[in-house]
Amino acid sequence: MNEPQKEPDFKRAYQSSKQDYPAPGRIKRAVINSQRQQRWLRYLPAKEWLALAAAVGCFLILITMTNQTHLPPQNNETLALEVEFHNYADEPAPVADHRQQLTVYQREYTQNLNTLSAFYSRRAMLAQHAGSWQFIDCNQQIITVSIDLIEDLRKHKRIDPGIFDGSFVELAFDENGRLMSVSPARENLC
Amino acid sequence: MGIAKMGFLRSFTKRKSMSETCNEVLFRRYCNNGDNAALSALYDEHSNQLYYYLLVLSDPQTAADITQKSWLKVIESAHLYQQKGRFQAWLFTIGHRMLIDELRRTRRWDAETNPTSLPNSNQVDEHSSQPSCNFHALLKKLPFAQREAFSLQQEDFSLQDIAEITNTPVETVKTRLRYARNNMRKLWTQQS
Repeated sequence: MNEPQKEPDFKRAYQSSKQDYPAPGRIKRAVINSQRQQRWLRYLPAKEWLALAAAVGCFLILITMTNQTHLPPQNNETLALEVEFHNYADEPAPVADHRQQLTVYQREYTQNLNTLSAFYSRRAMLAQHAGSWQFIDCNQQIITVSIDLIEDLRKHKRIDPGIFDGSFVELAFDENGRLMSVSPARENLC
Repeated sequence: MGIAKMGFLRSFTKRKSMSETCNEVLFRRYCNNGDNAALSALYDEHSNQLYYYLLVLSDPQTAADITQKSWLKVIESAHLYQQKGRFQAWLFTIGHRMLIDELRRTRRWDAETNPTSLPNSNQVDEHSSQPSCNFHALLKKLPFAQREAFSLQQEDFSLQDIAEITNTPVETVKTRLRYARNNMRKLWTQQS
């Protein structure tokens, strides 16, 4: 009979005792601060964040690889670069048969198209033009061009006559690395 | 008299369910909008209850640590919360599991929670010298399982809630509560 009357005593004593032991205030500060820090992380669960990071990583790798493919080959360890001699033929040798002559012209024309398509250019300064020409590019590499090639280029008007020592020039190369022309650059863009 | 009692019960039940609804609304607002104020309100509402429940079952340092970890877990697992249960019951379930893990980790589980162990009359809380803390000291003398069931009942949890929080059959909860009340009554009488 007395049991129902005693239970509220327990409850009141429990509530009273609970008020003597409040939770430390530092817990609330830590919880609220943690919530603020992790707020933006809640929008995506952990797995989705991992997948997103992996996708971004792959994308960056692809971008880097693509850029490197289109860049001209640069070897910083090379201090000097020798350009191989090559020349240009002005006119194919005459052939008696007109059909054969046409074929020769066609072949020369196709070859010239391949040859004359500039693949990339490099800016440099003409350091010496007595004998073999020497250029120094933006990476301080020395590019030596034989006098034969210079003469050949000059013959085909592929070297600007106004170039002298200290001039900044633009060297055009084809896809095989052959020098095609030397033209003056408007300013030093290194 | 009967009508008055019914009216009181109805208003009490209504007030309790309104509180639960309020908790649900606050927690939904926090989940959807990341509302700090809603989280803060929930914390103010439940933190003392959770802390004292954990304090009854452990020491002040452990209770503070587990309280903080429980709230951090609530923040992390907010998207897992199912609205079929009460927020408070969910919070206490997290607290209970974290406390058990902590006790197991520090190898205090067997010594403190053995249901057959008798109340230790020498086990007195460090604050028991204060008159207002006598009840707390008495409570600490109960075996772990009885102490937990008794504490949860004082927090207005139903038998079903206590069974779910402690992962125990309802009949076992009833038994523990009966023993806890008897033991508390004896200790209370002795102290008086």
